[in-house]
Amino acid sequence: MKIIRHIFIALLTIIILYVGLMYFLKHIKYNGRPITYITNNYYGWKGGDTYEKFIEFFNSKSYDIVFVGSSRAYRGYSPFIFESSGYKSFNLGTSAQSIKNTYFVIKNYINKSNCKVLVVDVFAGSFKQSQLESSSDLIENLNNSKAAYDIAVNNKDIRAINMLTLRYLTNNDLPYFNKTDYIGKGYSVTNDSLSPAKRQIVIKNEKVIHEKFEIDKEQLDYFKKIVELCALKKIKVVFVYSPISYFYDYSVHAPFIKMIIPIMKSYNDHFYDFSKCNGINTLNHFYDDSHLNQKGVEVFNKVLIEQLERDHVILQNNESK
Amino acid sequence: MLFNSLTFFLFFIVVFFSWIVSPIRYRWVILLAASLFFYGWEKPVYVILLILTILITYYSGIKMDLFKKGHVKKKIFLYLAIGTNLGILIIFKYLGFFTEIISQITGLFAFNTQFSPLKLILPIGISFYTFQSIGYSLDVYYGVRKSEKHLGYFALFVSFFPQILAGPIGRSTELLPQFHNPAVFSWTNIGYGLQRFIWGLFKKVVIADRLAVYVNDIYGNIADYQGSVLWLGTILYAFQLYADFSGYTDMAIGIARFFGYKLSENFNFPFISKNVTEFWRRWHISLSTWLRDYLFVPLQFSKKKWKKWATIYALFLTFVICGLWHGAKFTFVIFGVLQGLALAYEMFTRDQRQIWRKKINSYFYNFSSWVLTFTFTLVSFVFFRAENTADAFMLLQKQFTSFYDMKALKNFIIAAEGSRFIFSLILVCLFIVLDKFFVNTIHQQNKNQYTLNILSSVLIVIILLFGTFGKVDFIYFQF
Repeated sequence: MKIIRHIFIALLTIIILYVGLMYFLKHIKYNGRPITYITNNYYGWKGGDTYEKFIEFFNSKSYDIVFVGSSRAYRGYSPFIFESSGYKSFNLGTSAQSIKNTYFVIKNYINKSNCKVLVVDVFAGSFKQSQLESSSDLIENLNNSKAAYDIAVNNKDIRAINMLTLRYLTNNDLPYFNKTDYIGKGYSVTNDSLSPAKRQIVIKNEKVIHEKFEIDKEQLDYFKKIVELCALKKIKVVFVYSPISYFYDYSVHAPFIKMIIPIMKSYNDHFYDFSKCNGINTLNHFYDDSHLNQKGVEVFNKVLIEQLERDHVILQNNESK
Repeated sequence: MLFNSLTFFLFFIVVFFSWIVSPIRYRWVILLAASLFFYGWEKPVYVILLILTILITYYSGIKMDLFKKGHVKKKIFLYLAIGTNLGILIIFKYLGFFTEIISQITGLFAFNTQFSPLKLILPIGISFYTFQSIGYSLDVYYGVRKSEKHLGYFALFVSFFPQILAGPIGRSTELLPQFHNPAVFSWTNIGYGLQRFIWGLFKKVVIADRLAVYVNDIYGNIADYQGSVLWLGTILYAFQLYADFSGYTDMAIGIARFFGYKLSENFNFPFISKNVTEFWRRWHISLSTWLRDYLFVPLQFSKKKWKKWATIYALFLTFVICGLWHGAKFTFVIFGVLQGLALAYEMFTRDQRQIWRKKINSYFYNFSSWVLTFTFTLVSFVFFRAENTADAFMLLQKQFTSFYDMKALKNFIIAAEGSRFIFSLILVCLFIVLDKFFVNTIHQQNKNQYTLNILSSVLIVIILLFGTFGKVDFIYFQF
């Protein structure tokens, strides 16, 4: 009995201390922000495009197309361009969104009534990237507590639990920052081109990135789960490999395609490889190693719309198949 | 399998409960199976190497007992045991290094013999368990103890999972007898083990891994930083290394105590040392005492006619080997040479320093001694951390030519997100303050139970909130 009492007191002390210290750190401000953020670099700031887009999406009704994925998604698919072609769309891409976190976004936000076609942006990196950056951003900024809880618990990482605690403590706080390039409908725009130094690398034909093809097994499992979840929810899903720049190490592309095609075939889903997209070049259509600028997005999105229409994934006159 | 991972936590829970429910007589079977599983977790094939070491050392020990000291056959079996252990160590750890040297020498003389250096993957913990086995063989040879007849206990002695990856290097006279008297379940042991583990975990995930970010940045970009920043990096590295390695040791001691076994201490607040001799009595104690007993003393004895020079010779050779033990790189050789030189200097000047001590104010003398010792430790750690000798010398050159550049230091701190950097320094200060207090308090369990419980709870919360929790290997795993 004495031992059980000791364990109980210790656990109670730990819980009280944990919540107390979290509360204390949240309420002590440095430069107008809680000092929790300076204790570790994994805490995502409350605010920015993720915070705004999920509120915006939540308040809206239904879309012809919804995009999900990493920054390559929210910077690569412009709902405004799709709208000009007659398709109401929204971009739910977020920073470094891993495949696993994409699954939880789809699970908690997408259903047959608010999305006719779901476009999942994929590339080799989204199958191996650390979940922490993405989880941190989503846990802090999602307006759906269940989704935040799902992501935190499934991270199996104490840091995600800390983020969840911080989320509850900052629930009533206003966002701490805004993202200036966010223009609505989940899309962030950039008109810049490559920096002069990077332009020189392209012009001189020098390669700088050498990657190793690595796929995280858990991410691959969640990829299959996405396909199954969409089938269960009766949502039409397509997977798109958006254009990549000159800086991308193309040697990882072939094994990635080799891995993904059989999965797509087994589930009978569409996969579009636009890694080398006609009309896109690094000097004019990218603003950094992996993100398209507005010019590039315009070219790519038009090509994508044509392809989706040609395959009857989406139908002209705003009538989905 | 890292001690600070979820995998290890699950592994430990299974092993501990299996150990509790199994009959006392056969608990060693659970621990041995767990140890082999633990060792083979990353690379199962290296378990074969471990078993080979165990079997040959065990067999040699039994055979050595059959002959009197000095008998040729006894020597043969000693050489067999040492040869096997050293052979494995040389093949996996040093062959690449030696072939690289040969390749460079032949290249110098334009022999046109081009061959690429052999690069084998170093089995983790190999330096620790081979030294432990060699120590056992020498103990049996010199009659310090009888050979171990129970193969299971002996196998457990070599492979005991809390210590196999990074020590402390166990002594046959201390650890083996404990396996003959298996401990029963005890809440006192669990309390001690848990507190010791928590303290080690704090050192690893709150201090060492946090400092690693700054140290890796500085040591990875030596050419970009001025001396002042490089000094900062070296000071942070000293604390990172200490927190990392002593953190591992605390965790290992804590885990072993759950099962009732007492591992030897490895650290005794080394950074308060006032001379290099004292430093080695406080730093990696299990290695320094191993080297003293099995290398330094026999070397010194073998050249006893040389009198004082015998000590210098033994010291120097011992510390070159100590450097090489850490890794097959010239930086480690230089590290060992520096330690050897410092110890030789201290030996030669012992009488003179005693005279100074009497003449100078004792506080000033002690403080100056501490400053000099700590500075020397930092300089030698440059060779311990640098990727190669060129980097180490460039760093030292910058450290001594632009140490005053405060603007560069300020810029580094700003770039490292100043407030987070300051917060990290506050945590280091907390570590320094608690280091002696916490360990001393743990050692007086009965008197301070209440304080310990509170302190452990506070530490757990600090670990949960301020731990960095990345998958960062322990530094000594590479050795």
